[in-house]
Amino acid sequence: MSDHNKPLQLSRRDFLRVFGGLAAGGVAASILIPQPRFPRVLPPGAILPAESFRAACNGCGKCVAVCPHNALRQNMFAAPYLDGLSGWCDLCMICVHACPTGALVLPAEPLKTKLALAVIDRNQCIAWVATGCRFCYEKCVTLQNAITIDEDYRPYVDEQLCNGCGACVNVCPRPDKVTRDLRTGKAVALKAIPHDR
Amino acid sequence: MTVDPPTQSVARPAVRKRAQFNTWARVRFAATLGAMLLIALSALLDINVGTFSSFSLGPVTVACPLGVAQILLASQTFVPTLALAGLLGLGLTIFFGRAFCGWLCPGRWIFNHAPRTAATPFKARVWVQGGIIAGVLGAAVAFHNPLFCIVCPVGAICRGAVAAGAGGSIVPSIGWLGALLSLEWLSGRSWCRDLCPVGATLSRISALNPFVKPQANPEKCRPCLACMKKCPEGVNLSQTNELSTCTKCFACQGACPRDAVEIKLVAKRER
Repeated sequence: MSDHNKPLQLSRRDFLRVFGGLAAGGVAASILIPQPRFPRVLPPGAILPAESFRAACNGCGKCVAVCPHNALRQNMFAAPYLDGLSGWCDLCMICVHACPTGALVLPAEPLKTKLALAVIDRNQCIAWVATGCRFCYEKCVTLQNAITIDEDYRPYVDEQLCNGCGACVNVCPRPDKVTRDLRTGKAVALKAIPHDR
Repeated sequence: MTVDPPTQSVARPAVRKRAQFNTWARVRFAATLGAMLLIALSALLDINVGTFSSFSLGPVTVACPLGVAQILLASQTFVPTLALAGLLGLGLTIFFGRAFCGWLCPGRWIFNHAPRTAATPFKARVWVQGGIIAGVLGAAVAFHNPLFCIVCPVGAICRGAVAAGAGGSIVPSIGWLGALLSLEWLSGRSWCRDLCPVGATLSRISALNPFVKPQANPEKCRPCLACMKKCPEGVNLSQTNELSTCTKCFACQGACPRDAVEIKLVAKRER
């Protein structure tokens, strides 16, 4: 309380400390925070154009909180995304009903929503590199049946059938670790598809 | 204990008053902590309670007025439910004043620790805060994006609580808080008093609020400025009745050495 009336005095060292700290923190964050291989996949109700979605979403986090499968996360700029790492989307649309701002809109045919496209990295996939793993195939058979395997048990994604639910990412046994070039160790990732509307 | 002059030996309840201040602070901290735990628990149990950006109790949703204004300006579309939620937030602010800042906002316990400048005069602060609000709304219009909501410490902490409940990462929240703390430290201002756009918005709205206001009893009050020094908003009760910035934290009541601060349940409008 003794410095209650002291005028503000900033030395050059103070200034450098704050802005140097901010800059160093930003650089460290951009290196250390794992970046996805593809643009972030938005929640199932994000059928508005990307600009309208960004204008309407204030990052309140309700969609993340209500998701019964923990499929949604918020990125650094508060936008919700789906990457399949923590859970996968079964298009229950609970997040859409929870959204208070109109950023998420109920699609006309909710169960036919295409969220994204699963892309298999053949350099990471156990079935492609070695052999024997059928986790994603056996999961997808029960859902969209979009993953087929050839005679060598190597998986392929049918781009027409895949709705990008993220179950294959979720069950992929490769560890979800951060590597220098790939940023995620999973052999399959979700790739956002541009919406026409 | 020192021997007092006989004129001042009547009332010296300093120890008791300090205890009372700490009691209010403890209650307010418990309220804030409880709200954060509620948010995290709702995320854990997948219940639609929401955060302070937009809070739901059953079918009723209350939203942050500044956030609603930003979204309506940024998206240029009118969403009736969202506007209604914003109006409810406005109504709650008229009813409770800035009690949100004192009782529920977690930023109160993170910022505001070492303001290095004295409180700016009220009129100057009104202009500065008006400029901050206009800048936030103008940025929303210009960039078609509610930009302040990304940075907002209340939103960031609530996102951290949701992430803690749902299993996400709280690192982004800590990063934004660190950036804002260094901004506060660099500017030498108190965040809650001078810089926070949400607090500024609530201050302007709660000019209409007539309930639960501290007033100095002129018979007991000597202008010792003890209330002003304890008040996080720098309100001098011995001089002013302008209490639109009051956060109902009751620190002034505990600080007053003469028991002169009375909490009026319904205050008469001045001017």
